[in-house]
Amino acid sequence: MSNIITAGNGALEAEIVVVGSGPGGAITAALLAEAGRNVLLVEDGPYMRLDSAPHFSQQEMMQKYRNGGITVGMGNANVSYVEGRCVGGGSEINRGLYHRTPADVLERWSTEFGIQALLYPDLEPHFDACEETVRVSYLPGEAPLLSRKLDIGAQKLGWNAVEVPRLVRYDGANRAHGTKQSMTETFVPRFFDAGGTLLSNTRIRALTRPGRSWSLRGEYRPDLAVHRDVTIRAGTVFLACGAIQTPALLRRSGIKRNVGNTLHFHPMIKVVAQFPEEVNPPDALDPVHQIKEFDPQFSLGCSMSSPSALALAMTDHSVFLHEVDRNWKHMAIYYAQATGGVGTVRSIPGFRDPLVRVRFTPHELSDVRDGLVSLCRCLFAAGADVLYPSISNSPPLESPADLRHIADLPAHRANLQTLHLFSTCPMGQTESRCVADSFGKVHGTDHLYIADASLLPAPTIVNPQGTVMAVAHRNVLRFLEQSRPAVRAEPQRTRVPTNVPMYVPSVSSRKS
Amino acid sequence: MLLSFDCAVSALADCIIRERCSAPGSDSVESRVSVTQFLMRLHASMPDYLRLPMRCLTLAFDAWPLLITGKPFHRLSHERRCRQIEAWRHSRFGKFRDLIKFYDSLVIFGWYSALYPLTPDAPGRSAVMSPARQGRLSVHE
Repeated sequence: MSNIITAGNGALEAEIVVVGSGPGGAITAALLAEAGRNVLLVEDGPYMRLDSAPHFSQQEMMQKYRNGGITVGMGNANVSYVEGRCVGGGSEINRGLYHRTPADVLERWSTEFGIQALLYPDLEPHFDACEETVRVSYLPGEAPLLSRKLDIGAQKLGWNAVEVPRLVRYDGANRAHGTKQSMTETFVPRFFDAGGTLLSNTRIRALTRPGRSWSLRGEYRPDLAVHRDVTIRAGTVFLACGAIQTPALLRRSGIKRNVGNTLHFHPMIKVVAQFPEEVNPPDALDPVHQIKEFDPQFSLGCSMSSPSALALAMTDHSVFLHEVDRNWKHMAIYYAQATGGVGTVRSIPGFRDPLVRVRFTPHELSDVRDGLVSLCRCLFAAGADVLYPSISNSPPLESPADLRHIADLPAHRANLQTLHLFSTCPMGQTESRCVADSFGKVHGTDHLYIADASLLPAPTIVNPQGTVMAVAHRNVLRFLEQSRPAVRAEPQRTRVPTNVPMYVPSVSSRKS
Repeated sequence: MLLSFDCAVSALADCIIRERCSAPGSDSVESRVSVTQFLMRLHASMPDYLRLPMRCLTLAFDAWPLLITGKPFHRLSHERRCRQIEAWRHSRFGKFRDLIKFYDSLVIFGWYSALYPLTPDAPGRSAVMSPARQGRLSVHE
């Protein structure tokens, strides 16, 4: 791995520094390096193999989650969230469910924020290019019963459920479960092949522009015993630290206009369902169904349901934990996900971690509640015996009549989570509300760009990784065109086996 | 020392496991120690602005029974510990409820992770990619 460096005692220099190696940062770095640029990719967390720890395990939390996964947005309803802190960022720890951005969402963003060239036809070639490197596939066989239960319930209620493709490659030694197409499996190797250089375990504290170049000050901390201050000088900087860390870094650096004021997310509430039959056998394939019938108000889905995940989801009903011991193969986790709620990100002087605050209007909470009620109706229709919603001091639900217990969703008792965070540095030409222009260049600065989910001006409605990748791809090609017109990166082609189900790109998803 | 953060966390974990996690193996001292270690590692990793308040609240929880029993929480019998946890779990003070919810969820996750370990996809491979050189970037001493 000759592309990986450690920090020495002096200052590092690079033509371009990309801070953050998640989907936005890895794609940006790879395309810049392939265009012949001298690129240093800096990552706060360690460089671990995708398979360094079992997925959703205690070990993975400690290795790859920021703050061990103990991160929460505080407000009238607390929302716990997770961020990846490792090379590959969120792509290493998410489930890889994939959607292209709906055309109506892009149209709304373009109008409201004055974003140029972001309609679906503009973004389509960038989806195509990204999907050539990160394989997008449907499950190679039938989805597990816990996933199909969502489809069964939806059909009985006259709704549509869709099987969602994933960023997973189903071939080679691990054909049944596949290999997730995280950044360490896809764009980071492309970055290395093009001669890029990675500095991991390095947190950037602040950036300044003393002259014609940027100076980034940080600390290199590969383990508890080593702590070294780092200075990096660069002509151009791309920030791709994610929707929480990018605004925090900008604010620590004195760049505050509109920064971190409009955090958006997909608030999610979970339900554990217990069925009379076995729905969750050991070694089951990942669940993939979603109900998009009610978008954009809310959507419904299913989660990985290992015994430890089930136990965690049963915390609000811990007197029934013995059911996990006895019946975990009959139990599965489902979620309702809405789009409401807004928050702020602020750095606190003297502290390392940013403060995230959130707030919900009663109407936004009622969307979450409506999603939860619809999910419960669907699961009862699919044959569930008992449902355990993630609401403190809430009784288990044993029939649709019990849904009266969640007629109101009390903000302080609902255990909300989110995996999708965005909009803290919205892009657009409307400078009064945007941080960056239509292609990610930070307003009022020179040679400073953003390349992550913080650019997305509002909720994506769908899983956002596809949007983050395509927007990063679009923006970095634009940067290359403008900064060196003669050079244009060609997306690298990957060999595609022919005997696995392939994702067929379209605006609408496949119906199951 | 009368009050102890470490002892309070260990006693909380022990009580929640015995009270809630009745699966085979819940009497395993080794597993309980591993859950406590997991909690201590998470406490060290949590956002720095939350770390001190969480420590103070945990110590306040440990000190709570002193006036009545003359003993901190971690020196109480299992039954009295359970009663105190239950009282805080249903307290009218949100911070008290949040503290117990925090420990409930992490103890339960830690316990069940140990009880039902997930297997890595490719065991035995080196997990960490190692640095190999001082890259092609220019280094100014």
